[in-house]
Amino acid sequence: MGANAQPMPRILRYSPGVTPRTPRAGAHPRAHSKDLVAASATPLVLSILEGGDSYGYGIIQQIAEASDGRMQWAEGMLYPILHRLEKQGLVKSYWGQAESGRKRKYYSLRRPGRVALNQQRQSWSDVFALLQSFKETPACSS
Amino acid sequence: MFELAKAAQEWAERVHGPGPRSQERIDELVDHLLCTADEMVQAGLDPREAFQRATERLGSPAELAREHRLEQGWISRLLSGVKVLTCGDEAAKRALLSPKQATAAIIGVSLLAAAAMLLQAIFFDQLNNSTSSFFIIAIWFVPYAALSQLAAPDKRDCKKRLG
Repeated sequence: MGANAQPMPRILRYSPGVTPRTPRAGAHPRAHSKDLVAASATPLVLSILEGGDSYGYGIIQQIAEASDGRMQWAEGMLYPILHRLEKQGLVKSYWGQAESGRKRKYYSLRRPGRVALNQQRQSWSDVFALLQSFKETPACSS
Repeated sequence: MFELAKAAQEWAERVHGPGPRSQERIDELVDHLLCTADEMVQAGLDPREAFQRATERLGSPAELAREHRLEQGWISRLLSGVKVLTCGDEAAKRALLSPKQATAAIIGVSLLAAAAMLLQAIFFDQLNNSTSSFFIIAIWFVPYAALSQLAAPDKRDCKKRLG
């Protein structure tokens, strides 16, 4: 997906059997492919950070809530992604204090991260438009 | 009495072990575990059960440890690899090397051993036995002993992992 494509952690997986949050009645986890979940992880994390600084557990919660429990990650897979994004200079981290008094590591989006997010959005939008165009155009029958 | 915070700390330490930036990773993992477990406890779950479920949601410790190793430089990876092989549990060993990789490693080590013996025969055949023994020690024993010491300098750490 564009210039910022990167290898995803091996443990990245979709677990349809376990829901981190109670989804809306009638909503069920969908069996998205492992590859799709892996490819979408970076833009999703960057998108969440675009909305404000967050931390690992908070990001997982936001994903589960926004997708109504349909998109689920093995929670541990998030950290290798965050650390890689930090190494690439797309996000930065700092230590803060949670309400409970515990140390908590927060992540915030950097300017290159914003640029990467826009590129990823464009790439996903292109793929989506292409998929739609094939759906709308009947295949040549001759 | 089950101590949630202590259990989380020990679990995270078992996943990450010593290494560069490990303490940061451990603190981050502990916070995540406690966030999840606290929420479950508030919902009425027993702390031990909550801890169990929270760790399950995080994923396999062996795979998390593997991801952590991949984030590190090759020297740290080598050292933590030796540590897993010398005192890691079976799950950690399986996560370190797939059956194919383990087979390749065995063949590679065998070839290296054969090459070392061949070199010894070529270069040290005419020399006395002590030089020959020194060569074998220098080639095999010293690097292995050094790596083992660097990877697991504290025997208690090894016992803790095995326990």
